[in-house]
Amino acid sequence: MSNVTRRSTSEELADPTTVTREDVLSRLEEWRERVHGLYDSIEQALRGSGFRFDRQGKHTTSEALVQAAGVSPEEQPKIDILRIIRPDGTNAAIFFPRGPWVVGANGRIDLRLPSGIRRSDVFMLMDQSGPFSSPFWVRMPIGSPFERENFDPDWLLSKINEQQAG
Amino acid sequence: MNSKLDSLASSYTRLSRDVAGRIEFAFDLDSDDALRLAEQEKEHLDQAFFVLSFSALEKNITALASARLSTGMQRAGLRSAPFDKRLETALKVAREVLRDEPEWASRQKLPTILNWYEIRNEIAPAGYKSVLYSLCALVAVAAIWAVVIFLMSRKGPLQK
Repeated sequence: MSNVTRRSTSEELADPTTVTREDVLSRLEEWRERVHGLYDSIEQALRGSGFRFDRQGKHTTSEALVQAAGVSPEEQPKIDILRIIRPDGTNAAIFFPRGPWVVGANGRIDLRLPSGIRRSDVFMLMDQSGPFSSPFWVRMPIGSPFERENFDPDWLLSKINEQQAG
Repeated sequence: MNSKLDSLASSYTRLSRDVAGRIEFAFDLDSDDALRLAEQEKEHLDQAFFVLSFSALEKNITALASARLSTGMQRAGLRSAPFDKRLETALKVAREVLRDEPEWASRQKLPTILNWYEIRNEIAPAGYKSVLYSLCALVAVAAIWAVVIFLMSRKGPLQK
């Protein structure tokens, strides 16, 4: 991998004028690898549980830093939106990647758990790793930002089942 | 944590819960407009508390940096010194108070705090920077500094 973006995302946010087009593209490529790697591990852990996985939805970012670097949505690496679908065709979970540039973290994905019976739950997954190191995903309810736990696909499975049971 | 930081963290948690309720409601409503609005509220909330939490951190850093100074004039001079100088001095004092070189006080950790300082300076006068935040790391660092201040206040100024 190119070493043009060895800085942390916070460092880039602190000094956005020095972030080049190449930096942005390299960062987004690396972000896609981390996000898709997480999805792969979830799919592997939930395989055989009756769920289907849909990764057709794509996300590109419109962050000011990306725009300022002159990177258009068409040029950006497309990041999958992961839908986990129950056997009855309803959404069990949706992973929506927000972006790698987070002050205090190395990327954020929103996890939405629709219920159908009661209110949906929304979690934030933050990558707490340093720049260009292995991802370290933690989860927190969007309404309780200090209640952090390591993200684990087994937790996701039990949460999905809990949502379905109401 | 100290009482100011405790109070900030509690307020942030309560308000986050309110905004989260609106995000979840908008999601169930399947309304992109409502979701966009609720997420913008969260962004504003995170940004406001980032500025407030950083102020608490900066206050602790400045307090520790000036702990060894004996005159009001010296302390006033330090308060107006560049932030990186105050941070360097505070780290030196922290190492002496703790009689150790913990990982959080290492030189490798300096850039993170300096980056937050730059981001805070960009937000505070302009009022808004569209960016995502995770406040846990900042509040945790501010809490560590508060502990060092507390330890120092128990020991009194260290003698060289």
